[in-house]
Amino acid sequence: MVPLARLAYLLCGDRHLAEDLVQSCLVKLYRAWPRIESPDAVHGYARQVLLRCWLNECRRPWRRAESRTGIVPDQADDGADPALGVGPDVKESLRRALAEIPPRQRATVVLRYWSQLSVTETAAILRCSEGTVKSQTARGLAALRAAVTRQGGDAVLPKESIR
Amino acid sequence: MMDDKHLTAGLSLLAEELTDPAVDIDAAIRTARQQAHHRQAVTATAAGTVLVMAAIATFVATTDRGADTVGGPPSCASPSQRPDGTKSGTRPSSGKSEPFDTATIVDPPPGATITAQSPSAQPPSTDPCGPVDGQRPAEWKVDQRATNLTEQLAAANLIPPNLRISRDDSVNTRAIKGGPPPALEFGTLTPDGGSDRPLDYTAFAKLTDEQGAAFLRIEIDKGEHGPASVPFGPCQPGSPVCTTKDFADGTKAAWHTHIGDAMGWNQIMGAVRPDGTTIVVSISVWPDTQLPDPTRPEVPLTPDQLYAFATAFTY
Repeated sequence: MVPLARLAYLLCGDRHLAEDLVQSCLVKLYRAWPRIESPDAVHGYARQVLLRCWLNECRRPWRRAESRTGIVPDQADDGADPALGVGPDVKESLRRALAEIPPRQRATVVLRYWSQLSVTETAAILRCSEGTVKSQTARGLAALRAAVTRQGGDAVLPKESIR
Repeated sequence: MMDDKHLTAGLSLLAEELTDPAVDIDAAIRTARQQAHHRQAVTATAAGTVLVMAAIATFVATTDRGADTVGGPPSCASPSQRPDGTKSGTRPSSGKSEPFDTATIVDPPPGATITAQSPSAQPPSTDPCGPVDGQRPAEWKVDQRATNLTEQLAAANLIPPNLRISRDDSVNTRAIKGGPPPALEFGTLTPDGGSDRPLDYTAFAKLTDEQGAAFLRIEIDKGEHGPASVPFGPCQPGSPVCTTKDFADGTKAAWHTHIGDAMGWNQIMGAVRPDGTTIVVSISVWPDTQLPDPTRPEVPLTPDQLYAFATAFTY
């Protein structure tokens, strides 16, 4: 549950929307349960349903959507890990940069770099070709890099989909 | 220098901000069961309706009373000939804070037939004649204010003459009972089950030229929102994805888009007038993100043309 909710959170950047997306996902998952091949397939199918719910959400008029501005964590930010060279400034730059890139590029980057899915697995979830995943990842990283640079961040993102 | 590992770490830090998600398993199960029951009832009703219509058609044909008046209506045009659609994408309140209860996990029913099904073979998530995931069926209504707003839009003459205007038959209007409303005519949308939000006025249109189609949506309301600058966050000075504009009459507006391969596949202009009228104009060449490509290389209206909508309406 928590990993699914965190995936939703990375996709949409809003806690309440993420919870709503997971709720919608669970409803669809329950109804589709008899068709799911095996327990191992549940995770992939759940991610697929979640992505679909979120991409549909992206079509909604903005004024019907909950506020997604100035996202503030519910708790104090004590998660920075200096050992990994990722400080709070980098995290905030990344947050704002993610909000600027198109939904499918954002989804691809999150699935590849946070969920650690392969190109094949990501293509199955997004229902597209592996080539599309690679190009969307490359473009997403380029867009992130441009956004972070505009914000004055000193983080340099990976060149492209090198994984 | 941030490499793969740092990007992953950064995303992990963001993700870890979300703790104890408020997700109601029991409510999800109840909703799913209600949807299944409703779909069964709707299917039975639709089947019965089809039989009745077929009987009527046969009767008219045999009595030679103008069979051409009873024909196959356009798909999705007549509420009596398509399902009402399920109440999918319900949004239960997120206020419930009970932790996730593993005891309520639903296991596959014992002895359930497990069929191999690849993601690509799964049935589509939407009924082509019904609402898409996340949309509730909605009733379209036109009142006097809607008529007034339609006249204001026509008088403003904001659509370039090179664009052909037609009904928006995209996913944007699929939830509307009776099919897409006339292009650039305002009405209100009332979702099934009512709404706890005041109604606003909406107009749709498809704008087409030799490069492809774009989908326009205009929403007019009053008094609900403050400065219209926050669809995607505050506008940073110098940002290529947003701008703001203050008009001489006191109207404040903002324009937003996404940066991407082709700049601005989806653009939004929001404005608030001194009398509280709010105007939101969204134009998209990628209304259905399930499609692999946009419907046009770029939107056919410039930011300035979108800004022109900001002062065209009075609620």
